[in-house]
Amino acid sequence: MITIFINDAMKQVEQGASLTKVLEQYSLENDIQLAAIAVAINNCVAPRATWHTTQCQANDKLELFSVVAGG
Amino acid sequence: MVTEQLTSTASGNKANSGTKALSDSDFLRYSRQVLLAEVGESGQAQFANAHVIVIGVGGLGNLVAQYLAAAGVGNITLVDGDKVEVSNLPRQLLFHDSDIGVNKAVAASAKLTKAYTQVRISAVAEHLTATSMQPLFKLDRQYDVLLDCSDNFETRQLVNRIAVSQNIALVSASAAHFQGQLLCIEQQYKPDSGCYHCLFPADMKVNQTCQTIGVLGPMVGTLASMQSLMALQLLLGNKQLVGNLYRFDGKQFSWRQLIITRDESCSVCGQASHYNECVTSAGTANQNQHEY
Repeated sequence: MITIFINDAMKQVEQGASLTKVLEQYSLENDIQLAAIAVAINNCVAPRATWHTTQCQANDKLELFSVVAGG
Repeated sequence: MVTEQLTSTASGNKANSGTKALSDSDFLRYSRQVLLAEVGESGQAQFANAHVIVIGVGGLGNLVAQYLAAAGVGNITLVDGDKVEVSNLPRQLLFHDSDIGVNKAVAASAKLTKAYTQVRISAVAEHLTATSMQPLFKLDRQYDVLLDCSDNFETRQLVNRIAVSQNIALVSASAAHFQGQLLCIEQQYKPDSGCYHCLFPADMKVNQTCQTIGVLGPMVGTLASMQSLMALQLLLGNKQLVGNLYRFDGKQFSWRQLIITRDESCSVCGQASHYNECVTSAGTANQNQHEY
């Protein structure tokens, strides 16, 4: 297991876990729709198409946010 | 007396071909801006020679249009098909009770034209659609900056496709509840940053709109001020903000800055995309649904 941070909260995930797997688990635990999430890793946005090929590393800082469309 | 023809020193945008001199009265009016080393007389001339287009004249667009007109941006096109409603008045500060029922672009244009006589402001009283955009975007790089002040995700996707296909710098702001987002994209300057669609794909689920969860006027105003500042920086040739997403939390008063990354498979700006085809086909599919 490795330690990562999701929105500043510490979390243990499997070594080599893909971003898709981590986000699916997080969305289930927090009742969030996966389709409503954008994510940045260490301050760089990870496009959705790269989630399944991106492996989380120890101490990665994930920032999850949703789109704001109002104006 | 300032009579010489002023030319721009910044690179990359249409304003550089500046031909408008700074008059004595303009020099007085904009003296606090001209005092800035980053602006000076040449920067003020760049503002005067610039043409920006504002999509949506609601909470964001009201203030953005006013800030840019007050700063001396010479040509401003306002696009909105909505009419003023009483629920708009707490945050759309150009409008008053007497404007209710009037088209927003028309009402804002009339007030700003009266207040800022040196600025040319035009109103397009239509929602942005694949059809209505055609006469607005006839020429490549017709505008120096495209400001997305719309209030729905579909329009934001269309604005992004236009920015990519027309090679226009896009400054997009949004606000709802106590969350705000601001980003700047310019394909020609920083293609690795991708586009709005790389960040927020069109099939993404949207939960936050002002209509469903509410918003405070100063929350929208904060984002509008930052959006205006970003547009002025771009007009001055300052591109260091391009490719960044800024997220504002209006409860904690915190800003977070992220780097936007290009999605190589993006259907709008990715390698496999065909910019103009994207604009036409996607816009046509949605042409009856874009409102802001």
